[in-house]
This record gives sequence, structure tokens and C-alpha cells, in this order.
Amino acid sequence: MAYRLIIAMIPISKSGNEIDELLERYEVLSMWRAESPEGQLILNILIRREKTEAILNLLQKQCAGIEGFRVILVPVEASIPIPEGPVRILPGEEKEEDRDTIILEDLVDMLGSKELVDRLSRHEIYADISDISRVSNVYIVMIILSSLVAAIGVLNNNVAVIIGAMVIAPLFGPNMALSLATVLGDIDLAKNALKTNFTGIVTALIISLLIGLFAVVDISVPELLLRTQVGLGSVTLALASGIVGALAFTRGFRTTLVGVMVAVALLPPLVSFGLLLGSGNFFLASGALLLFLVNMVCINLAGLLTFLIQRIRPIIPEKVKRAKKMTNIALIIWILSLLIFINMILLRRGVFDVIRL
Amino acid sequence: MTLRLIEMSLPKGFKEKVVDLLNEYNVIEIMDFEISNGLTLYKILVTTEDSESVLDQLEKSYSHLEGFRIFIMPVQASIPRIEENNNGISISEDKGKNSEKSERISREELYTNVRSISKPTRVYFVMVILSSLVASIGVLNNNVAVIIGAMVIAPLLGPNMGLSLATVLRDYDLALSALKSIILGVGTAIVISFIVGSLVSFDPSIPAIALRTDVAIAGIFLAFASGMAGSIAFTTDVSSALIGVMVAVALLPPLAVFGLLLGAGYYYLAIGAFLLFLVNLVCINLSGVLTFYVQRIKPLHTWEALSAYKITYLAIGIWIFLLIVLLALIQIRKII
Repeated sequence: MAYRLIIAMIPISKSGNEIDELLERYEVLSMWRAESPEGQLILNILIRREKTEAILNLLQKQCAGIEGFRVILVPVEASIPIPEGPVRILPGEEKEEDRDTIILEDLVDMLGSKELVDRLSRHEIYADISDISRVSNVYIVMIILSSLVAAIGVLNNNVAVIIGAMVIAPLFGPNMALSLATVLGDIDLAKNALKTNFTGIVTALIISLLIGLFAVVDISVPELLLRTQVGLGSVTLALASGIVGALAFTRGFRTTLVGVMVAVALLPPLVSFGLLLGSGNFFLASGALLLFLVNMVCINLAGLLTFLIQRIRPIIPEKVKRAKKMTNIALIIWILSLLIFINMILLRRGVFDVIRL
Repeated sequence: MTLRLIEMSLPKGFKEKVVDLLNEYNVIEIMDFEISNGLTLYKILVTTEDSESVLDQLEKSYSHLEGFRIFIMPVQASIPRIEENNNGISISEDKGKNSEKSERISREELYTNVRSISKPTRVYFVMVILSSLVASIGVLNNNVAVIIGAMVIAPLLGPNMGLSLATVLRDYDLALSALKSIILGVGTAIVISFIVGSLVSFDPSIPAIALRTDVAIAGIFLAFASGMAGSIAFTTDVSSALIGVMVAVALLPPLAVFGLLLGAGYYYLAIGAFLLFLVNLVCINLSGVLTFYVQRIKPLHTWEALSAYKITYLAIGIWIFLLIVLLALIQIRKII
């Protein structure tokens, strides 16, 4: 689905012509207007899905706060004739932002070339991500069940079952939501995401601790051991997959996301930690915990950086400031904790060597 | 059964003609609205399976008109529920005689989906680089889950599907961009894993590596069957089936193993991994072209369809020839 249809309902009191003129600056693929009996202007705009954001921003700026204004975004499977060539937004409108930029943003602008910035609109990503980051009964049930599945998979050394638990992956969404909330300066979403994350982690931990207390945990099981080994490779792996995951979210690649969930899974290390802790294997448990933390920090860091490079930003001035502040704080927190964890990995390896000697 | 909403804009005054024209097809509903610029908007509800014949008819009849545009949108549900009988839906006896029965999405929809994932964009290269890294680390750590993750990220499957579709549709532009994506993507993946392989020291007897250095004859059937399943998944609405296919006949892990072994200097084993990759590649393309051909995906106009058939036969011949050459090479390698 490479196209989107923007349907905007605008009360006639707002002069439609004005908007028409503004929209002419953007090369939309097709546009028409109709009037509803109640005196509403209905604009239909067909556009490439990567180009929706500029128009949504424009409509939002022009019409926000007007009674009866609403925009809906509908996916389009195909279009005949096939639109030719890339549809470029004509210069203007975009570049009137105040330029009291910090060095980081300039760097991000340099990195984010035009093509890499092609992505779904902020609005669509927001709708997708906030949908999977809410604490609901279904979410808690999913966490409980996938923890059970992961625990059984790990204890029985069954890779297929473990992968199944990874794909259920209810922990990936909330972490992406946290990154998105940060770059958008959206405190509500951030709170929600943190709450969901916390609830999920605690639930999974309780379940696996209980299983660890009562079941026989054989620490020579390869799949369990695999989740206690953490090295610098794990950091690279988690960062790389985290970036792929964030890209998949911003471009709407659903299947890719599944791969990411499997490559940088949060649940199996967390569950292994619970199992090992419950059965009293504290040194191995620390490895699993470290792997879980490294994965989580890397996902957040990768998500944050990817969203920054893709220039996902709020448009309301007060939120812009807040977003900058939140982004800077979050970057410092994630990078610092990553450095600490890398240090711990190296230290732990030293301890391990001593034990082996 | 899924539904599609076709929206079409035409100049005013075609209403009766459109209704007449579509009378012979399985159309569930037609609505029309006056819109700006003297155009009329038609909203036509059809089942996904019937959408292609309706679209073809509309495009043939009206594409020369000023203001003509069609787009196709997914529909989640419809009320009242649409009754389904053995032949799918049919509203009256003689309706539907023109509707070619197929169980796939329309050509235009397939084209839009495939084209968007077969272009050599920067995001594609970022994906290839990152998934090669993920695959290399997974292989080196012998971590099956991570390798499967890299398989599912699968950036290389799209361009290969693009090449097959370009063949049956005789679309040179799509073929060129798909070929470019494949060659550059494969090159990038080899470079990345070569670098990892020359930096890290590892033991080539790791099961995850050993598994990917040998091609058995069964592997060819596996690749062929999964390639077909993948093409069918592309032409229907089942995207979750695609994930299974990506895992079953993965292109990236053998490629990453090839790069790793090459980087570390194990040339004999490296050749085995590369042969496995090539077999998978050829099988995916062969099964893709065959599946699309069997599903009668062809260009709209008859004169184009004829030359498309020629190209399709030629492509099938080339792929089969390559497969035979590969089999010979595999045998020769075993003897040495």
C-alpha cells in the first residue's frame, strides 16, 4: 500500500479556496472537492504515503480548532494510471522554522538525506504505535501467556517455542512508544509507555520467578545458557536490529518487524533471568539480566536515533521545546546506561575467566 | 473473501455507460457523486477476486478520458453481509460471465506492493547492511533465533519478486530497478560479512555455519516449494504466510556465511555456502515466474501480453539452465 487518501472535512466557514491555493504547492497525485448538504467542504487528496506528513501539517496548522474539522487517512492499495516519477514537494512553507538549532540537530540534518526521511506521516506512526502500547487486560494476558510459553521453551530447549514467544512480543511496542513520545515531546504517551513497560516486565518476572521456584531448572540446557551469555556482539546486534525495527515502524513494513522481534527479543532473557533467580543460580541470572537490559537500552537508543534522523518532530511550538529537552535527557540517560552495561559486560567476562582458570 | 472499494473519477455524463458496462460483472454496489472540476466520482464495491477483471474493463474503456483516475482501497467489512455461494458471489445468473475467476489480488495492487519493495533506495541498503550484521552475529554465536530474525527482515526477497513480476508483465523499468537492487544488495551483504569474517576469528565447524555450506538435492525442492508458496502469498492477502517462506528459503544467512568464510580464508567451505545461496536465488526466481504465469498475471493489452509470454518462456528457460549448471557445479565440487 504505497498510497494514502487524505479525506479532510472542513466547515465552509473556513474559505476552501485559501486551502486549495496552499495545497497547489504540493504536487499531490489527485485531488477533488465535494460539498456535503450540511455545508461542509470535503477534500479528497491522493498522495504517496511517504509524502503525507507535509499536507497533514498544513491542514492541521490552517484548520486546527475549527469546530467540525477532521482529517482521516485511508490506505490505498493501488492507483491507475501509475503515478510517474517521484512527487516532490515544492520548496517553501517547510523552511521557515527558527534556526536556533543545537549542534546535534545539524548533525542529524546532515545524516538524514532526503530519501532516508521518506516515511509515513507522524500521525500514522503515532496511531500505529500508541495502539500497541496501552496497558489493557489483553496486554497483561498476552504477557502472562508469552512468559509461560517462553519459560517452557527455555526449560525444554525448544527453539521453535522460544521463537513463538518472541513473536508474541508484547514488550517491543511500549519501548518504541517511549522513543516516539520522547522525540514528539508527548508526556502522556511517555507515561503510558513507561507504565506499560513496567507492568509487562514485572508480570513476566513474577511468572518466571514462580516457575523457577517450583520447576527443576537444568542449567546445562543450551538455550538457557545462550541467554546468559552477553558480549559486545550482543550490543551491536541489539543496536542494528533496533534501528531496523524503528525503520520498519516509520515505513510501515509489518513483516520486517516480526524479524526484529525475533532478533532482539526482550522476553526470553527476562524469563531466563526469572527462572535462574528462582532456582538460585545467581551468577548466570546476572548474565540474563544484563542481556535483557542491554537489549532494552539498545532498542530505545536505536529507536530514538532513528526517529531523530527521520526528523519526526512536533509542530506546536511549546511541544518543540519540550521535545528537544526530553530528547537530550533521554539520549544522555540511554548512552550513559549503555556505557555502564558495556563496562559490566567486560568486568563480568573478567570474573568468568578467573572462575574458569 | 475480502472486499475492495474502487474509486474512479470521470467527466460528467458517463453514468449510464458505466452502469451498463459493469452490469456484466460481479459488482456489489455502485455509487456516484458529483465532485469539483466537472467530474463524477464512482465508488464501486467488488470482491478482491473480481477486482482485476473490473479494473481491466474500466481502464480499457476510459483511460483516454481527461480526469480519469482509479484507486483501490481495502475494505474491512460490509453490512449487510455478502452471501457467498460456490462460485464466490454472483448477483444474478448471467452476471459474472465476464468475470475471470481468479483467487488473487488484482495486477495493479500486486504491482504497487511489489514495486515499493524492489527499489534500490537508501533505506533498502540500510536494511541490507543491518540484517547482514544481525545474520553474521547470529551465525557466529550459533543462535538460531537471531538467524531466524535476520531471515525475516529479508530485504532480498522483495527485489527477486520484483524481477519475476517484471518478467511476466514485460516491464523493463521494474526489471532494471529490481536487478540493480539484487546485485547491489548481494554485494553489500558480502562486503559486510566479509569484514566481520576477517575481523573475528571463529571455528567453521559451528553447526549454524556447517549447515549452510552444503547443498543437498532436497534443498532444491525446498527452495522451489517455498518460492512458490511465497509467490502465492504475494498474490493473495496472506502476508503472514510470507514470514514462513522467508524463513524456509532464506537468502541472507547463506550469503552471510559465504562472506564470513571468505573473510576468514576458508575458501572451499565458502564456495559451498555461495552455491547454496545461488540455488536458493535461482529457485525463488524460477518458482516466482512460474507461479505468476500460472496465475495468469499478464499485461492489460493483448499485443503486450504476446511479447510478455515470449519473455516469460525465455526467462523460465534461462533459470532452468542456470539451475542445471549449479547442480553440475555442486557435483563437481563434491568430487574435488
